[in-house]
Amino acid sequence: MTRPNDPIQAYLASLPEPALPDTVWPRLKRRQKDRRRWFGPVWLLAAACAGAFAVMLAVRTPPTMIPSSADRDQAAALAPSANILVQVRAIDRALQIAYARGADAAETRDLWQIREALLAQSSGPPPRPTRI
Amino acid sequence: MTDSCHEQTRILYQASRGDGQAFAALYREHAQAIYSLVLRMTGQHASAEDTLQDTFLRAFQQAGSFRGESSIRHWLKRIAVNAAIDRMRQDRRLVALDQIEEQASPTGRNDDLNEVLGLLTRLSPSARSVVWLHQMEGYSHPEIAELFGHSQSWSKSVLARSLDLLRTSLADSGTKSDPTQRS
Repeated sequence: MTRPNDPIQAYLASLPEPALPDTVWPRLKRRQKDRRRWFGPVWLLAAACAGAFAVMLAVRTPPTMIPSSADRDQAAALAPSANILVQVRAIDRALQIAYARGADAAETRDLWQIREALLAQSSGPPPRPTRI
Repeated sequence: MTDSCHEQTRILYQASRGDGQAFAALYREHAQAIYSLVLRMTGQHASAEDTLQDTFLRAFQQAGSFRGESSIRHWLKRIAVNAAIDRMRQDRRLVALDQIEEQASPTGRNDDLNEVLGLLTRLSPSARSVVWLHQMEGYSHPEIAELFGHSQSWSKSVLARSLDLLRTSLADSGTKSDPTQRS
Protein backbone atom coordinates (compact mmCIF):
# COMPACT_ATOMS: atom_id res chain seq x y z
CA MET A 1 0.00 0.00 0.00
CA THR A 2 1.02 3.63 -0.09
CA ARG A 3 3.60 4.97 2.32
CA PRO A 4 3.06 8.53 3.56
CA ASN A 5 6.66 9.50 2.82
CA ASP A 6 6.66 7.88 -0.59
CA PRO A 7 8.59 10.20 -2.93
CA ILE A 8 6.35 9.24 -5.85
CA GLN A 9 3.23 10.20 -3.92
CA ALA A 10 4.86 13.44 -2.81
CA TYR A 11 5.81 14.15 -6.40
CA LEU A 12 2.28 13.44 -7.69
CA ALA A 13 0.76 15.62 -4.97
CA SER A 14 3.05 18.46 -6.00
CA LEU A 15 1.86 18.50 -9.61
CA PRO A 16 -0.02 21.73 -10.38
CA GLU A 17 -3.80 21.77 -10.78
CA PRO A 18 -4.93 22.26 -14.38
CA ALA A 19 -6.96 25.33 -15.20
CA LEU A 20 -10.63 24.54 -15.80
CA PRO A 21 -11.45 25.54 -19.40
CA ASP A 22 -14.19 28.16 -19.79
CA THR A 23 -15.63 26.35 -22.80
CA VAL A 24 -17.05 23.38 -20.86
CA TRP A 25 -19.73 25.14 -18.83
CA PRO A 26 -21.64 26.68 -21.82
CA ARG A 27 -21.52 23.33 -23.65
CA LEU A 28 -22.75 21.44 -20.62
CA LYS A 29 -25.56 23.93 -19.98
CA ARG A 30 -26.71 23.62 -23.59
CA ARG A 31 -26.61 19.81 -23.49
CA GLN A 32 -28.57 19.71 -20.24
CA LYS A 33 -31.18 22.07 -21.73
CA ASP A 34 -31.45 19.96 -24.90
CA ARG A 35 -31.80 16.80 -22.86
CA ARG A 36 -34.64 18.26 -20.81
CA ARG A 37 -36.33 19.65 -23.93
CA TRP A 38 -36.37 16.21 -25.57
CA PHE A 39 -36.91 14.02 -22.54
CA GLY A 40 -40.17 15.69 -21.51
CA PRO A 41 -42.09 14.96 -24.75
CA VAL A 42 -40.47 11.53 -25.14
CA TRP A 43 -41.61 10.45 -21.66
CA LEU A 44 -45.08 11.84 -22.28
CA LEU A 45 -45.30 9.99 -25.59
CA ALA A 46 -44.07 6.74 -24.01
CA ALA A 47 -46.61 7.07 -21.20
CA ALA A 48 -49.40 7.79 -23.70
CA CYS A 49 -48.43 4.73 -25.81
CA ALA A 50 -48.33 2.49 -22.74
CA GLY A 51 -51.75 3.77 -21.66
CA ALA A 52 -53.27 3.24 -25.11
CA PHE A 53 -51.86 -0.29 -25.27
CA ALA A 54 -53.30 -1.13 -21.86
CA VAL A 55 -56.74 0.17 -22.88
CA MET A 56 -56.58 -1.79 -26.16
CA LEU A 57 -55.74 -5.01 -24.31
CA ALA A 58 -58.54 -4.48 -21.84
CA VAL A 59 -61.08 -3.90 -24.63
CA ARG A 60 -59.93 -6.83 -26.76
CA THR A 61 -59.73 -9.43 -23.97
CA PRO A 62 -63.15 -11.10 -23.49
CA PRO A 63 -63.91 -10.84 -19.81
CA THR A 64 -65.39 -14.34 -19.76
CA MET A 65 -62.04 -15.85 -20.79
CA ILE A 66 -60.39 -14.58 -17.63
CA PRO A 67 -60.89 -17.11 -14.85
CA SER A 68 -62.57 -15.54 -11.88
CA SER A 69 -61.07 -15.76 -8.42
CA ALA A 70 -63.90 -18.12 -7.52
CA ASP A 71 -62.86 -20.45 -10.36
CA ARG A 72 -59.25 -20.37 -9.20
CA ASP A 73 -60.26 -21.13 -5.60
CA GLN A 74 -62.44 -23.95 -6.78
CA ALA A 75 -59.61 -25.44 -8.87
CA ALA A 76 -57.22 -25.26 -5.95
CA ALA A 77 -59.72 -26.98 -3.67
CA LEU A 78 -60.37 -29.86 -6.06
CA ALA A 79 -58.56 -33.18 -5.80
CA PRO A 80 -56.01 -33.83 -8.60
CA SER A 81 -58.42 -36.21 -10.39
CA ALA A 82 -61.08 -33.53 -10.31
CA ASN A 83 -58.95 -31.21 -12.49
CA ILE A 84 -60.96 -32.64 -15.36
CA LEU A 85 -64.01 -30.85 -13.96
CA VAL A 86 -62.13 -27.55 -14.16
CA GLN A 87 -61.36 -28.28 -17.81
CA VAL A 88 -65.02 -29.11 -18.40
CA ARG A 89 -66.01 -25.76 -16.92
CA ALA A 90 -63.53 -24.08 -19.28
CA ILE A 91 -65.13 -25.90 -22.22
CA ASP A 92 -68.53 -24.76 -20.97
CA ARG A 93 -67.35 -21.17 -20.97
CA ALA A 94 -65.90 -21.55 -24.47
CA LEU A 95 -69.22 -23.01 -25.64
CA GLN A 96 -71.04 -20.10 -24.03
CA ILE A 97 -68.87 -17.62 -25.91
CA ALA A 98 -69.23 -19.55 -29.16
CA TYR A 99 -73.04 -19.57 -28.94
CA ALA A 100 -73.06 -15.90 -27.95
CA ARG A 101 -71.28 -14.94 -31.16
CA GLY A 102 -73.43 -17.24 -33.29
CA ALA A 103 -70.93 -20.01 -34.02
CA ASP A 104 -72.11 -22.77 -36.36
CA ALA A 105 -72.82 -26.34 -35.33
CA ALA A 106 -69.54 -27.71 -36.70
CA GLU A 107 -67.56 -25.45 -34.41
CA THR A 108 -69.53 -26.25 -31.29
CA ARG A 109 -69.58 -29.97 -32.14
CA ASP A 110 -65.80 -30.22 -31.54
CA LEU A 111 -66.16 -28.53 -28.18
CA TRP A 112 -69.00 -30.87 -27.22
CA GLN A 113 -66.87 -33.88 -28.23
CA ILE A 114 -63.96 -32.71 -26.05
CA ARG A 115 -66.40 -32.17 -23.20
CA GLU A 116 -67.80 -35.70 -23.56
CA ALA A 117 -64.28 -37.16 -23.67
CA LEU A 118 -63.30 -35.30 -20.50
CA LEU A 119 -66.41 -36.47 -18.72
CA ALA A 120 -65.69 -40.04 -19.71
CA GLN A 121 -62.35 -39.80 -17.87
CA SER A 122 -63.97 -38.38 -14.77
CA SER A 123 -65.02 -40.88 -12.08
CA GLY A 124 -67.46 -38.52 -10.34
CA PRO A 125 -70.96 -37.54 -11.39
CA PRO A 126 -71.06 -35.44 -14.58
CA PRO A 127 -71.35 -31.73 -13.91
CA ARG A 128 -74.48 -30.00 -14.95
CA PRO A 129 -73.93 -28.23 -18.29
CA THR A 130 -73.68 -24.49 -17.95
CA ARG A 131 -76.95 -22.81 -18.79
CA ILE A 132 -76.57 -20.93 -22.04
CA MET B 1 -25.17 13.17 6.94
CA THR B 2 -23.79 16.55 7.97
CA ASP B 3 -25.66 19.79 7.27
CA SER B 4 -23.26 20.55 4.45
CA CYS B 5 -23.89 17.12 2.95
CA HIS B 6 -27.68 17.61 3.28
CA GLU B 7 -27.32 20.92 1.49
CA GLN B 8 -25.24 19.36 -1.29
CA THR B 9 -27.77 16.55 -1.69
CA ARG B 10 -30.61 19.07 -1.93
CA ILE B 11 -28.66 20.99 -4.58
CA LEU B 12 -28.03 17.77 -6.52
CA TYR B 13 -31.74 16.89 -6.61
CA GLN B 14 -32.70 20.44 -7.58
CA ALA B 15 -30.11 20.44 -10.37
CA SER B 16 -31.34 17.08 -11.67
CA ARG B 17 -34.88 18.53 -11.86
CA GLY B 18 -33.66 21.37 -14.07
CA ASP B 19 -32.92 24.12 -11.55
CA GLY B 20 -30.32 26.20 -13.40
CA GLN B 21 -28.92 27.88 -10.29
CA ALA B 22 -28.44 24.57 -8.47
CA PHE B 23 -26.83 23.16 -11.60
CA ALA B 24 -24.35 26.05 -11.73
CA ALA B 25 -23.62 25.80 -7.99
CA LEU B 26 -22.83 22.11 -8.24
CA TYR B 27 -20.57 22.70 -11.24
CA ARG B 28 -18.71 25.55 -9.51
CA GLU B 29 -18.15 23.42 -6.41
CA HIS B 30 -16.87 20.25 -8.06
CA ALA B 31 -15.88 20.79 -11.70
CA GLN B 32 -12.26 21.71 -10.95
CA ALA B 33 -11.59 18.56 -8.91
CA ILE B 34 -13.29 16.33 -11.47
CA TYR B 35 -11.45 17.93 -14.36
CA SER B 36 -8.14 17.55 -12.58
CA LEU B 37 -8.79 13.84 -11.99
CA VAL B 38 -9.93 13.02 -15.51
CA LEU B 39 -7.14 15.01 -17.14
CA ARG B 40 -4.61 12.97 -15.15
CA MET B 41 -6.30 9.80 -16.37
CA THR B 42 -6.94 10.64 -20.02
CA GLY B 43 -3.90 12.84 -20.58
CA GLN B 44 -5.76 14.89 -23.19
CA HIS B 45 -7.60 18.18 -22.78
CA ALA B 46 -10.35 17.31 -25.28
CA SER B 47 -11.07 13.92 -23.69
CA ALA B 48 -11.00 15.42 -20.22
CA GLU B 49 -13.49 18.13 -21.21
CA ASP B 50 -15.85 15.58 -22.76
CA THR B 51 -15.52 13.34 -19.71
CA LEU B 52 -16.28 16.26 -17.41
CA GLN B 53 -19.49 16.90 -19.36
CA ASP B 54 -20.41 13.21 -19.31
CA THR B 55 -19.86 13.10 -15.57
CA PHE B 56 -22.31 15.88 -14.80
CA LEU B 57 -24.92 14.63 -17.25
CA ARG B 58 -24.68 11.11 -15.80
CA ALA B 59 -24.85 12.52 -12.27
CA PHE B 60 -28.13 14.30 -13.02
CA GLN B 61 -29.54 11.15 -14.60
CA GLN B 62 -28.49 9.07 -11.59
CA ALA B 63 -29.26 11.66 -8.90
CA GLY B 64 -31.94 9.38 -7.45
CA SER B 65 -29.31 6.73 -6.74
CA PHE B 66 -27.28 9.04 -4.49
CA ARG B 67 -27.91 7.85 -0.94
CA GLY B 68 -25.52 10.12 0.92
CA GLU B 69 -23.32 7.22 2.05
CA SER B 70 -20.32 9.15 0.74
CA SER B 71 -19.78 12.80 -0.09
CA ILE B 72 -21.09 14.19 -3.35
CA ARG B 73 -17.50 14.88 -4.40
CA HIS B 74 -16.60 11.23 -3.88
CA TRP B 75 -19.76 10.08 -5.70
CA LEU B 76 -19.04 12.41 -8.64
CA LYS B 77 -15.46 11.18 -8.81
CA ARG B 78 -16.66 7.58 -9.04
CA ILE B 79 -18.89 8.56 -11.96
CA ALA B 80 -16.00 10.49 -13.52
CA VAL B 81 -13.60 7.54 -13.27
CA ASN B 82 -16.12 5.28 -15.01
CA ALA B 83 -16.80 7.92 -17.66
CA ALA B 84 -13.06 8.40 -18.28
CA ILE B 85 -12.47 4.67 -18.73
CA ASP B 86 -15.49 4.43 -21.05
CA ARG B 87 -14.16 7.30 -23.12
CA MET B 88 -10.65 5.83 -23.33
CA ARG B 89 -12.23 2.54 -24.47
CA GLN B 90 -14.23 4.42 -27.12
CA ASP B 91 -11.09 6.16 -28.32
CA ARG B 92 -9.34 2.76 -28.35
CA ARG B 93 -6.68 4.03 -26.01
CA LEU B 94 -6.97 1.07 -23.68
CA VAL B 95 -6.10 -1.56 -26.26
CA ALA B 96 -2.64 -2.47 -25.00
CA LEU B 97 -3.45 -2.71 -21.31
CA ASP B 98 -0.19 -4.42 -20.40
CA GLN B 99 1.88 -1.70 -21.95
CA ILE B 100 2.88 0.86 -19.36
CA GLU B 101 4.96 3.26 -21.45
CA GLU B 102 3.31 5.95 -23.55
CA GLN B 103 3.77 5.45 -27.28
CA ALA B 104 2.80 8.96 -28.36
CA SER B 105 5.65 11.41 -28.30
CA PRO B 106 5.54 13.73 -25.30
CA THR B 107 6.84 16.51 -27.52
CA GLY B 108 3.42 16.56 -29.19
CA ARG B 109 1.85 17.86 -25.99
CA ASN B 110 1.63 21.49 -25.05
CA ASP B 111 3.65 22.92 -22.18
CA ASP B 112 0.63 23.36 -19.95
CA LEU B 113 -0.23 19.68 -20.20
CA ASN B 114 3.37 18.60 -19.67
CA GLU B 115 3.47 20.63 -16.48
CA VAL B 116 0.18 19.23 -15.16
CA LEU B 117 1.05 15.64 -15.96
CA GLY B 118 4.77 15.80 -15.23
CA LEU B 119 6.42 12.41 -15.42
CA LEU B 120 3.01 10.80 -15.90
CA THR B 121 3.36 11.72 -19.60
CA ARG B 122 5.77 8.79 -19.86
CA LEU B 123 3.04 6.33 -18.89
CA SER B 124 0.33 4.85 -21.10
CA PRO B 125 -3.28 5.94 -20.34
CA SER B 126 -4.07 2.73 -18.44
CA ALA B 127 -0.83 2.79 -16.42
CA ARG B 128 -1.28 6.49 -15.64
CA SER B 129 -4.85 5.85 -14.49
CA VAL B 130 -3.83 2.92 -12.29
CA VAL B 131 -1.07 4.98 -10.67
CA TRP B 132 -3.26 8.02 -10.07
CA LEU B 133 -6.25 6.06 -8.80
CA HIS B 134 -4.15 3.96 -6.43
CA GLN B 135 -1.68 6.56 -5.17
CA MET B 136 -3.84 9.68 -5.08
CA GLU B 137 -7.47 8.57 -4.96
CA GLY B 138 -7.05 5.61 -2.63
CA TYR B 139 -8.51 2.93 -4.90
CA SER B 140 -7.69 -0.66 -3.95
CA HIS B 141 -6.44 -3.27 -6.40
CA PRO B 142 -9.80 -5.12 -6.44
CA GLU B 143 -11.55 -1.84 -7.30
CA ILE B 144 -9.09 -1.00 -10.06
CA ALA B 145 -9.28 -4.54 -11.45
CA GLU B 146 -13.08 -4.30 -11.61
CA LEU B 147 -12.99 -0.91 -13.31
CA PHE B 148 -10.70 -2.12 -16.07
CA GLY B 149 -12.24 -5.59 -16.32
CA HIS B 150 -8.95 -7.27 -15.41
CA SER B 151 -7.50 -9.31 -12.57
CA GLN B 152 -6.02 -7.93 -9.38
CA SER B 153 -2.64 -9.33 -10.37
CA TRP B 154 -2.84 -7.23 -13.54
CA SER B 155 -3.48 -4.12 -11.43
CA LYS B 156 -0.60 -4.96 -9.05
CA SER B 157 1.78 -5.68 -11.90
CA VAL B 158 0.94 -2.47 -13.80
CA LEU B 159 1.28 -0.40 -10.63
CA ALA B 160 4.62 -1.94 -9.63
CA ARG B 161 6.15 -1.52 -13.09
CA SER B 162 4.80 2.03 -13.44
CA LEU B 163 6.15 3.07 -10.04
CA ASP B 164 9.54 1.63 -10.96
CA LEU B 165 9.53 3.64 -14.15
CA LEU B 166 8.51 6.81 -12.29
CA ARG B 167 11.18 6.28 -9.61
CA THR B 168 13.86 5.88 -12.24
CA SER B 169 12.61 8.94 -14.13
CA LEU B 170 12.45 10.93 -10.92
CA ALA B 171 16.01 9.96 -10.03
CA ASP B 172 17.19 10.79 -13.56
CA SER B 173 15.55 14.19 -13.54
CA GLY B 174 17.25 14.93 -10.19
CA THR B 175 16.50 18.21 -8.53
CA LYS B 176 14.58 19.46 -11.59
CA SER B 177 11.65 17.24 -10.63
CA ASP B 178 12.14 17.41 -6.88
CA PRO B 179 8.91 18.81 -5.43
CA THR B 180 10.82 20.59 -2.69
CA GLN B 181 12.65 22.60 -5.37
CA ARG B 182 9.45 23.79 -7.04
CA SER B 183 8.61 27.45 -6.70
